[in-house]
Amino acid sequence: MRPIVILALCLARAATAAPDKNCGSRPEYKQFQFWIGEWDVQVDGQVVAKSSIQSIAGGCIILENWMPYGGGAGKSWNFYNRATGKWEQVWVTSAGGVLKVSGVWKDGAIREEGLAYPPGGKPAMHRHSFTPMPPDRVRQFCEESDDGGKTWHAVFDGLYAPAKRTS
Amino acid sequence: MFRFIGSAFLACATLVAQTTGPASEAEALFQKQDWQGAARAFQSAVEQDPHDGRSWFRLGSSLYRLGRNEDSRKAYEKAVENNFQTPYAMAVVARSYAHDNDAAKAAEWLDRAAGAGFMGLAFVDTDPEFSKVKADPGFARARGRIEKNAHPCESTAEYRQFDFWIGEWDVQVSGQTIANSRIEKMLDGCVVQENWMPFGGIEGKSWNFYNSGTKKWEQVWMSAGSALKFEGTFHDGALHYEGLTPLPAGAKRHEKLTFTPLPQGRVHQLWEQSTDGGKTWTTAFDGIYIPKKKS
Repeated sequence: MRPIVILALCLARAATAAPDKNCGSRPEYKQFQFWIGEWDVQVDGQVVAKSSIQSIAGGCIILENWMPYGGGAGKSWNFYNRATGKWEQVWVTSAGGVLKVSGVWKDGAIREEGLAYPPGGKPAMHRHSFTPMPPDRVRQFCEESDDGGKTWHAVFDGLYAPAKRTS
Repeated sequence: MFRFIGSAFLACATLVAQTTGPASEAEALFQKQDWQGAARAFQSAVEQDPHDGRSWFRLGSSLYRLGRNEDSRKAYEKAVENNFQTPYAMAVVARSYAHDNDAAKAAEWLDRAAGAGFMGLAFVDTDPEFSKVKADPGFARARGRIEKNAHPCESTAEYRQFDFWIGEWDVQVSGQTIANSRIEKMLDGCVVQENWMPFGGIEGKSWNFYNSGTKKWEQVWMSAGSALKFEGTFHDGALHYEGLTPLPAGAKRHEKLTFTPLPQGRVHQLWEQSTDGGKTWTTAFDGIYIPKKKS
């Protein structure tokens, strides 16, 4: 797809920036590296899912593979959008759900907001945060609003812990 | 990730933590699996607030564990009336009828659950109560609807509008093959991913998905660390995407990206751009996807 424009982008950027393959080495990309890994995800102390978070496309995309024990699955792309200076997440599930949020690293967490489109349901405002919890954990907290952002209620509060080896 | 869609069970689990106020003591008893105590506490919670759907649901679950099937069913039905976890609450009402060997009522409630979007196929297939009513034709029909809910992208026409692009391709521009591309489905058909592998230049990937909330297709294209976003619909024999890309200095570039299925299983991709608000367009890419010969 689109070699002409890609070439143009390359030329435009060559003078000022690191090679494209090195997305991952630019300072902004480091902000979300704490999420990369193999995880057991706990809710209320119970492991409810496995998740594999990978750096792909030359470090330009953080790919989430969400594998809950209760069935269904989801994936997300997370990328830093240079045009807007924001992190974006696009999340799709095997049930046809879509979520699109964007935001920035602020006060010790990636904080994003946007809209969730549950399959066959009404879109709802959504905000979430990813907080590194030293030494090696990550908390993901998600809230939703059905009244245009006046009130919010929690819909997910999960703790990512490094996956135990199963060998 | 937000698991609005993951499973009803997970949703239940996640909601536990947020309870505060009068119901929190009942919740603690429930977590300790003190069903007797929890049933008493949730009973008094619903007496205080008859519209507390969550407490009705929890009361139903406590009573179910105590073997008081009919009382538990009444509580679950109250949860349904008060819109708490509606599809799942309907499914547990169905289970309650299955427990009583009432296949017709079990099928009726499971069908209601399916109509409300229930997609917990694992629940229907593994809960032993349902095995008693499996043979009922109405039950089988309801189960089929739930299976469809769980995998809408394989069974719903809109999600399949882009199937013509799936495959392994040689991509030609002006008669010259300049790239390989692999277009694959992921997530039970909910994402169509392109893996663009040019012979020279930089690789790229795109996600394409149908958003049932907007009734539009979306594409996110990522290459060289730059993201492009498009939105569109399938009409007049092609998938028509449009986009508005922010440029430095605040300007915007209009994009048109069109995928047209051609005879012999080929696909035409045309990408056009305008920097004057859509008055004039220049071609950014014009390529033909040709199916790779199977070796």
